[in-house]
Amino acid sequence: MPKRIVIAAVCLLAALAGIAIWLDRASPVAQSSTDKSAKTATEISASPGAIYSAKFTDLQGKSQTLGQWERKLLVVNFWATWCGPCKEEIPILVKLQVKFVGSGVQIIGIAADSAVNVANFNQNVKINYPLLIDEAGAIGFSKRLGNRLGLLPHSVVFLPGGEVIYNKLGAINELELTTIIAKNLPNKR
Amino acid sequence: MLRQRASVVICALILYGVLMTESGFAVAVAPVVASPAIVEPDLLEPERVFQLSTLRKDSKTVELEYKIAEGYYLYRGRFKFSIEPSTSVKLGKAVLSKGKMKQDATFGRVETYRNSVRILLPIIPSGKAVALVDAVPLRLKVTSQGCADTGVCYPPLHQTLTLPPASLDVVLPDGVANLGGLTRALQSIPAGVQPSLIDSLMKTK
Repeated sequence: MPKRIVIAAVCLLAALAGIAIWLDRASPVAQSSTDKSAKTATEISASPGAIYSAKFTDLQGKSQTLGQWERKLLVVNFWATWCGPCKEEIPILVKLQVKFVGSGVQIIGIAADSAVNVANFNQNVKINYPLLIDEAGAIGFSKRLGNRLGLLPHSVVFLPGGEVIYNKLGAINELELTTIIAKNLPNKR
Repeated sequence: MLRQRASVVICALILYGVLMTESGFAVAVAPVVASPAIVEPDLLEPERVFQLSTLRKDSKTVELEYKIAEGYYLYRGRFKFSIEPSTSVKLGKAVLSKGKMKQDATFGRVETYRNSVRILLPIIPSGKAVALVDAVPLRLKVTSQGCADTGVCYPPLHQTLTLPPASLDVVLPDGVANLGGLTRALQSIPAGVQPSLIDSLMKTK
């Protein structure tokens, strides 16, 4: 009789553990992709190779590719100084870059704007992550990541290697993005 | 005894399943994070949100109007205008209707428009092409930029309007030499209309 009780208890615990793991893994992405106001979803057309070879200019005028952050958990934020909602969420990204410093997380801002506008904005706000600029091409790149209308802000999280795990149009939710990053830290994987 | 063995086997299978989920095997079978497509709020195409039309046009001005869908707005400071052929005409300073002031974290107080905005653009002939302003269709390029109250902004929207000739009563100034432009103007007018234009030209000389 005691043997049966032990076996039943172990089975019950195993079943509960399985359910807990399933719920834990399913929740974050489910939240970000079941927005009640959502009407359409556009697929990503850019391959990881295309993503990491995309070239941009930094504030010093040097050419940069996203490939240098291929081994990082990469958070790409498309923005512009003419986009009010974009500027409102930048403090959240600054905070997250501090929070996850040394954890293999890199936040990048890609501006669909002029270098002058971005430099002027940066003087006031002091952004602590790299700013890349492509006034003519940033929107096109964002569209290839599923942003059909080229709207801003647009934020995408890539696992090391280029798999997209978060793709958000409009203002980011600090708690949601923090959770996504924390659960996918490269140094813990 | 048989029951006990069956229980052990079932239990072992459950444990195996749990362990494989942890190791990633089960994730490969049923991926939870499979390149999520972007989720788009209920947003309209920019041309439907910001509808541009010409209210009127004469030889000196063109008046434009944007009808702006509810829940969207345009920035005054983001309008740009240019006109072609630039060798014949240029634009004067645009006069815009009054908008509403909005506080911007970077640019301070910025003016925005909701519902509609009217824009008056002076057309200034350049050089010897005064007469052609009325005779040649003009291409007006307008750039606008706006956002939605839902918290997203549209990229700059570039639209081109073809403005028909304001009048067929063309008066050629003395010494006008742009016959190539005049020929193009005549070619751009429907065949049935051309005789009256030629008549008009003949009368003015």
